[in-house]
Amino acid sequence: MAAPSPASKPFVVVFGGEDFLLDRERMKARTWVGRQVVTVDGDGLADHELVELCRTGTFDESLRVVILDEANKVKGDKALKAYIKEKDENDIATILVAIVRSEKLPDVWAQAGKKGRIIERPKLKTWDRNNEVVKWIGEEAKRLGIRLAKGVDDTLFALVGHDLGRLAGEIQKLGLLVGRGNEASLDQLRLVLAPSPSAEAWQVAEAVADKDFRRAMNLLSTLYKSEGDDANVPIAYALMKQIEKLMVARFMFDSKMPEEDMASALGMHPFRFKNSLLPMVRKHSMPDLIKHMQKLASLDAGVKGSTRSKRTLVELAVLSIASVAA
Amino acid sequence: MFQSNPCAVSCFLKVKTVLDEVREQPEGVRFLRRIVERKFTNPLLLIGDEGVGRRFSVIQAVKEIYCTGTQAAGCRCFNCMQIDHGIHPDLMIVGPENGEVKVGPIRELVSASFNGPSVAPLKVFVIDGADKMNAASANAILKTLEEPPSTARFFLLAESAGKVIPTIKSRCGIVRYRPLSEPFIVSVLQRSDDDCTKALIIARMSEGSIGRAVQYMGAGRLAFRDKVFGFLRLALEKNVPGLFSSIDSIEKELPLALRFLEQIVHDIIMVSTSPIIHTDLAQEFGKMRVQREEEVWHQMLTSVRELREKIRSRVHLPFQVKNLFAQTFWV
Repeated sequence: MAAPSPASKPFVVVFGGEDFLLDRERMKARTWVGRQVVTVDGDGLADHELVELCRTGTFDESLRVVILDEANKVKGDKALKAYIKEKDENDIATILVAIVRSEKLPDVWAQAGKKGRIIERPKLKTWDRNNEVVKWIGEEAKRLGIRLAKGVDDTLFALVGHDLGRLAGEIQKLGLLVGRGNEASLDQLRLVLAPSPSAEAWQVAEAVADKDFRRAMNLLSTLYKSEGDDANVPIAYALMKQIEKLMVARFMFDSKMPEEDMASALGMHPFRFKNSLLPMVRKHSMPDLIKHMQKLASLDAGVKGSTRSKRTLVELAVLSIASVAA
Repeated sequence: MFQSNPCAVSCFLKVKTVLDEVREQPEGVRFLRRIVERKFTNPLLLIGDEGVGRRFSVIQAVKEIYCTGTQAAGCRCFNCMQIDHGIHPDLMIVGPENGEVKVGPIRELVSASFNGPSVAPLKVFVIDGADKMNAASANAILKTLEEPPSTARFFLLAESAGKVIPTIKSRCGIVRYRPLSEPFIVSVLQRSDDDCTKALIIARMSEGSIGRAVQYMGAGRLAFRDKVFGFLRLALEKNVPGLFSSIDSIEKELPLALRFLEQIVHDIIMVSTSPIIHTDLAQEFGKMRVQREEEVWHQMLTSVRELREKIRSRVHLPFQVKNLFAQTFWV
């Protein structure tokens, strides 16, 4: 998008759930050579205002590009539809770049895309067998002109996570260290990477369900460091969901249901069920789970009530469920 | 005299006025009539369950004050029509947003109360949800309720006196609205549906609230009640996945489900001794009752009541309901 190609069209529609990649497309459009750039936000923008903006020419009749961020928040009423319909495919005096921050493309922008270009930037999957973020790390390194030694991409993902912004920054640092055209090794990666541990509420809940109280408490403290007391309610919620899931699984386990049927009833892959949930289920009996349920019901009321020491309540609940004696 | 005061005409001729449209709430009507006759100017706190006629009776009283026409039901004078359409400039009604009466609308109400009426003899302000005012909104109106402007009348509606803050309560005349009688609700329901048994069950389910009864009549609530009754069956069978998924499927309607559950458990306890609400399920209640000891049902009833009290504190209701069944039947 850096320079208008001969195949330039009046509309460029970029959509998807990967904000980093959408932002990158937006930045590319902002540096469009030879065009005056106007940036507007779709939040609170009326359709007729957008149409007027696209129709208004410049004083010196120079070419323009109008970048509409959050285009999914534009209503898409008659005025905009009529503008898209009437727009000549060869009229590229003003190019409208719509950044649609949603996985689904609204009809009005699909129509615009037919007269121009549609660029899809879906949320990258982080599945065990198909980790698109790891693939993206390789592509990003190639873009910056460095080669990655075996295992660097996986390690980078394991240490940084799925945040593409942070990953791009780390790859850039790696590029500066090794220099363009060279290969980055694992040791060099460790040199540039500033590890910052992160934790999420569901990880705490899984550690609790696994009765790994050391890990649970470590994750809990990491989570509190990053989120503060805002983490109380999400942790309580994650624990409740986990215990519910364990109860359902335990019931099916006690009923001697085949593993595959259990996995399908819980909406899980049989392999994942067998290796992650089933060992947890074996660690809890139904009477224990019912007791945990009561504790969590009190915790739920506690973290939403006026108790001062909500964090202590959460820690006590985590400890009492995760401890081996429970 | 009669020309200048239409109320006097109606009193003299003993004709029915709009306020007489309010049924079964003699205490409320008595107080409101005193306000209409300008013998009582203090703010009124109307306490009663939702749908027993608090708001309706206030509107009728306002019509009686504002009416420039016949003063009878169905009057089509300009003021009565504006009230019916909710656009009368001298009548302001404030209600809760997301379960809370916020301070913004209350401040607007207070400042409007110091301006004189536009077309009517008095300005009327109704706060529907005095028990849902937060501390800021209650404090914002306190002074005005203590010394209301002479041309303003205030009506505060609340479901429970206990939830209204004492400083507000002490500044108002308190009027209690009783639950409406079963025959009255049945007679109203039968205007739209001839099914006598259904009308009777719904009248009992509504617990004296005509608003609730009308809502239940039209919204397939008997089927919903059957679904709630199904929870008990699943719990007794100890069908964990079935019960949990059923509860999740009605997540948004769980407050109503708890109301029905309380009635059902109450009926199960009372099925052999006194009249019950859900008469059509009496046989099944009898069978279910013997499956557990009486203490279990009593514990269940207490727990349901406690949980209904907790709803306002925004607990995670689906989990709490699941826990309720687990603690009662599976321990």
